[in-house]
Amino acid sequence: MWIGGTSVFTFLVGLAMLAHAPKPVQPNSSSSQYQAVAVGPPLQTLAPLAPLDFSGYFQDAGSQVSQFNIQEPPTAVPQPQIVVQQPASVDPQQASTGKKKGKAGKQQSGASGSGSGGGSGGGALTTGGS
Amino acid sequence: MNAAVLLAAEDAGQAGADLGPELQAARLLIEQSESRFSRFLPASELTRLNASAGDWHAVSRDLLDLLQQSRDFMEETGGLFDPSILGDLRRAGYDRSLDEIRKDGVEPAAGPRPSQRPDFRQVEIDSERGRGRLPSGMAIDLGGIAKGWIVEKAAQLLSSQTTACAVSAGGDIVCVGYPVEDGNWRVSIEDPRDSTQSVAEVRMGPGAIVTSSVAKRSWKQAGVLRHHLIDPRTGEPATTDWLSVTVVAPRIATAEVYAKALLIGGEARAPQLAAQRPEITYYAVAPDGTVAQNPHRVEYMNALRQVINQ
Repeated sequence: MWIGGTSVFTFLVGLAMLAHAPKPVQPNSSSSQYQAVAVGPPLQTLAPLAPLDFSGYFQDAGSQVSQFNIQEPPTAVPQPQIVVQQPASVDPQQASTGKKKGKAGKQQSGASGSGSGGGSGGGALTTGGS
Repeated sequence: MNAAVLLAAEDAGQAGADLGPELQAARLLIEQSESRFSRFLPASELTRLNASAGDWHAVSRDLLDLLQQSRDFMEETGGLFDPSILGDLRRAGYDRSLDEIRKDGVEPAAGPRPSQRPDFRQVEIDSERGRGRLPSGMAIDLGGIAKGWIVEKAAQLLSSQTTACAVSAGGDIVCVGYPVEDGNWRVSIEDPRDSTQSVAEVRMGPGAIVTSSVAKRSWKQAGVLRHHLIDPRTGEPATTDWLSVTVVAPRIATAEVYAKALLIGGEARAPQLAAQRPEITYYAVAPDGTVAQNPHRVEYMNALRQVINQ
């Protein structure tokens, strides 16, 4: 009788815990809808996440399976974000694929950030299809 | 490759370090690799393999790897990525370099696509003996995957001596490490309607970013606008919902293949393609210049956030 009573009590406690447990969040499954973003003011970007580090790029060479290492990079790195900007004149010094054939070798020593094709350091890279 | 190549590197640990030799070595590797996989060079490995279709042919390990990857990606994308479209490219007029085409023009298509054509999955690969065999009548173009392979090799070479580097060939980019100044790489997405403009900027950590576009490599054949992105299902330049698709992925081969597959497959196939590769993000530019992003990525990141915050 004592064992039965304890079992019933334990069951009731567990039921109470489940009833008050936080519910899992269901992701939005409407993957057939696309967020078309008009060119205009900057997008509201995703809230900061723990960065996903792709620095295993060459550590798993030969494998097409990406490995996410959730760790802090040397500096806080946001996720791939897209900032939609107004069409504007582009710095002609900026790298523009297809127009500077064979130009290579802009080296930088501990100074500038992103690579730049033609002008001074710090310009953005450009991807435009080929 | 008929594309501008950009090499950028920095070594945060050694102020004033001379990275010239590394950059030069990477440049040399790019030039040598291009000569191996170009379909326009009579003596390239690829040209010789195509010429031997139907017979076993000695092939380098690198080319065997590319053939194997291509076969795997073809299966994965349901045939939207298929290197055996060289005959279709030639019929569309892309039988010489783009510079020559634009200078001399192209002949009209010589007849329709053959109704019977070999399947790329029939390509045989013998890694032990270092040889491969294309089915008789097949000709392949590795432009959809070899450029990324070359870029990745150059970046690997550079990264052995630097803390951060980026290699770009025609806008197919590998970024390694984190640049000192910004902490991330900033990559502009070119407006496919106007190459002097950008539609967006992506900020990313290490990884690869590739854009496939129907606007960049185009020409006229018998008065009709043609482009280089062949739809393997029809053998014709693809009719697409978007002008370009940019993919960010951990590896450049994935980015290259999926940029093409998404652009060719369009809105109908995009959800399924993106779902089978949750590690990629893509941005599609519509003819009116609007930019769409795959929502799956948003869901994936939100779901991951829940896991991290628990």
